[in-house]
Amino acid sequence: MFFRLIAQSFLRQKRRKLFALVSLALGMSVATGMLTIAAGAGDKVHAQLATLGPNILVTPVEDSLTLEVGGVRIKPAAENGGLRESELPNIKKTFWSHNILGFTPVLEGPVRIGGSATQVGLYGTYFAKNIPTESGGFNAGLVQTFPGWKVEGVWPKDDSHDVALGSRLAARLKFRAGDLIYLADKETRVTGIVTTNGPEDDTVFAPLALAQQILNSPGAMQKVYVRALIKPEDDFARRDPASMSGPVLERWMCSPYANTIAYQVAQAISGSRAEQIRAAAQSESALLDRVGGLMLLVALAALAAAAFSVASAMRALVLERTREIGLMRSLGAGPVVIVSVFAAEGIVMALLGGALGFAIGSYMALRMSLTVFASPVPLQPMFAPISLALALLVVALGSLGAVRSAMVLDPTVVLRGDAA
Amino acid sequence: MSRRPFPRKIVFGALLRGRSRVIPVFAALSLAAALSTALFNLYADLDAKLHREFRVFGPNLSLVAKNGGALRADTQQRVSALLGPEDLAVSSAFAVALAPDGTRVVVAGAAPRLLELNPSWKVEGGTPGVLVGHKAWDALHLNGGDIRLVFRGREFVLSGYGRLTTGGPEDERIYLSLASFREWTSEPVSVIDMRISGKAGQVAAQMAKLQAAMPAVQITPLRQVTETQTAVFEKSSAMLGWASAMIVTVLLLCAGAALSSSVLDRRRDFAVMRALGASLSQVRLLLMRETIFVSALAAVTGFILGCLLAAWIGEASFGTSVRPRLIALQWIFPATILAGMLSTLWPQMLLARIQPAVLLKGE
Repeated sequence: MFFRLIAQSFLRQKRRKLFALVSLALGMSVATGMLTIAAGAGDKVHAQLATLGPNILVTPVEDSLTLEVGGVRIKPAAENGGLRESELPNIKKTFWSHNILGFTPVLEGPVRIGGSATQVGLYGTYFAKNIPTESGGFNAGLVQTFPGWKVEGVWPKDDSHDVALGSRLAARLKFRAGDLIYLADKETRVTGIVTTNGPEDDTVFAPLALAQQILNSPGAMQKVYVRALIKPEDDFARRDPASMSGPVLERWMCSPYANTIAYQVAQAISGSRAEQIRAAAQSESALLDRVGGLMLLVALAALAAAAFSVASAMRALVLERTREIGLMRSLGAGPVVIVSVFAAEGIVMALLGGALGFAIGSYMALRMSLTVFASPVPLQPMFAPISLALALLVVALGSLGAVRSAMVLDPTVVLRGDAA
Repeated sequence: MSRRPFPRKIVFGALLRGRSRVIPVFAALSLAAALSTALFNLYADLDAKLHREFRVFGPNLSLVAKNGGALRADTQQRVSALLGPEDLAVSSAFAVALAPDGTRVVVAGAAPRLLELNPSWKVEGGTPGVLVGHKAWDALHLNGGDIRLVFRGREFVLSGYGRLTTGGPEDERIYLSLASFREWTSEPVSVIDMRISGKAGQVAAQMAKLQAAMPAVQITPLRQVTETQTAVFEKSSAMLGWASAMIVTVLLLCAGAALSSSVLDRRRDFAVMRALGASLSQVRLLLMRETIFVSALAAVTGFILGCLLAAWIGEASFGTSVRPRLIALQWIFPATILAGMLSTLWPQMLLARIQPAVLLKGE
């Protein structure tokens, strides 16, 4: 009898049920869509901030200093390179390897160009070199670590003898992509012109192997730039690991601060020290925190608006059935039966509306992400049960209160049509 | 029968007696107005908030002499005259000095606002204006005591210095005040680092203005800070716009549903009015006037709540509150009234279907 009542309610009041379902689905789709976007916004904003470059610098633990004035290097700190290239894959073996988004080694020195005695800066590095790791390969190089650097042409291949020229150097020497130049008496091809908006615009970019050959420093590098996904710095992050031990040190090591990741990277490469590049690390982590927080609060506001809308719609729908409630009471139905009928209807609608809302909301989030970020935001399956639970909650809030209001009315008054 | 609209007494009387029907409509429209106001205020302040965060990155333009030599003595003054109130320029001069153990180290003299230009720099101890980069500190084996530096035979005693950490080339330098540096070395200013506020286009325009005023210098952008700031602003404001549209759509549908329920609840009242001779247009106008009044009240209430909400979200997200913009009321008010009137479209159609005789007979 009970289930027949529910089924007949859906079959005979299709338009009313459809309206309720549409309201529920719309509300839940807004809630799901905004929460999905908020969950993925952090990664999207982080991708934008990637153009700020690396946030950790690894250098040799050496006593000598680089003498650099206004971007002009008078003397590099370690003229023969103080770090070993062979230890680079160790960076991806640290605890925070999944937070390491890119790294690139650098070896710099003077090089003669154009067959004359003129010397310019040589910037030996990886461009997009595949490093074998335990979990497969990892692409290391400028492309990942300095995504804001622009190349007119193409980057040289890491296993080639091709080079790229910094834009200011190229303009000064009147070279273009495709030209042949003499570098340390070797003929090489210029594959691209690079714009960094920094002192590197006055240098020649060469594959690290070629630079090591020219500078007579086999297997050496002077520094490594690392780009990592970090969390904002707080007082705990600033603590010296040497002053901590046991669970405190473990908690520090298990937090992805720039200092923590730098500490572990330094342990991975012998004879090195690593520290955060404060300008990039501080602004990036603060920005992610702020913008992510803003998106989350806006998503919660959308959630509240959606919940209110659905609850109002459900309440209105139940109030429309005041006569039906009055009829059930006059036929002898008790409060438990009446509440059960509406609760059962509400559960069915909430499950249907919640599921539909989740599907539509996920699609809306995808379209929004493609429009705003030109890339999709990942689907969040965990929001499916959240959408269903939220739908159940707002249906309960909207319906049950209205049922209670309707039940306090005198059935004879309601059936006569005098109830306001 | 006169075609005059219903007097105000009837309109307000209906609203007062039917409070329980009016409240859901008022609440939905207030919420829509509040969230629209909050998102508008957030959007209006977003650029300034993001700019404050990006300031941590430091200077975004650098000025040097085209011939690579010293800058004219009045260059800083000329630059400052051309910059806006939010912009900042700091002059620096450099020299390579010798420490007692023969280590060569770069010493820089910088104008007083150097740390303001670089808020991300970490300074520990020392007196203002005397900083030693931590790599230079370790290389020179410093322990906080005095150290003598020599430049071209002239000695300088470094004391009361603080330890500087930046993660950049500054860590290998010693920084003095520009006045002390010039007194010791007589080296002229060679670089002016600047932080220009604004979007990419505004920074480029300022750069062009400075270059045109001083053709003997070269001004270059530093890093992609401005482009990144513009990109983050555009993405964030697009998200706020989408959120606004979704929230307002849902709430307007809610207001429409609530108004429809209200009309259905009062169909006997409308039927009585029609039976007593009121025309359909008079009854529709009654509904419109009620809705306009409720919408106007909701707009003002929503605007106040929205300003408070924006202030709270700004405080929670950026650590500073968002300034309410009264100009928002100029479009929130008419927009809310328009939204309320749009919500009456379906209820108006319901009104047209009411058959007084049938309804009053109880069928």
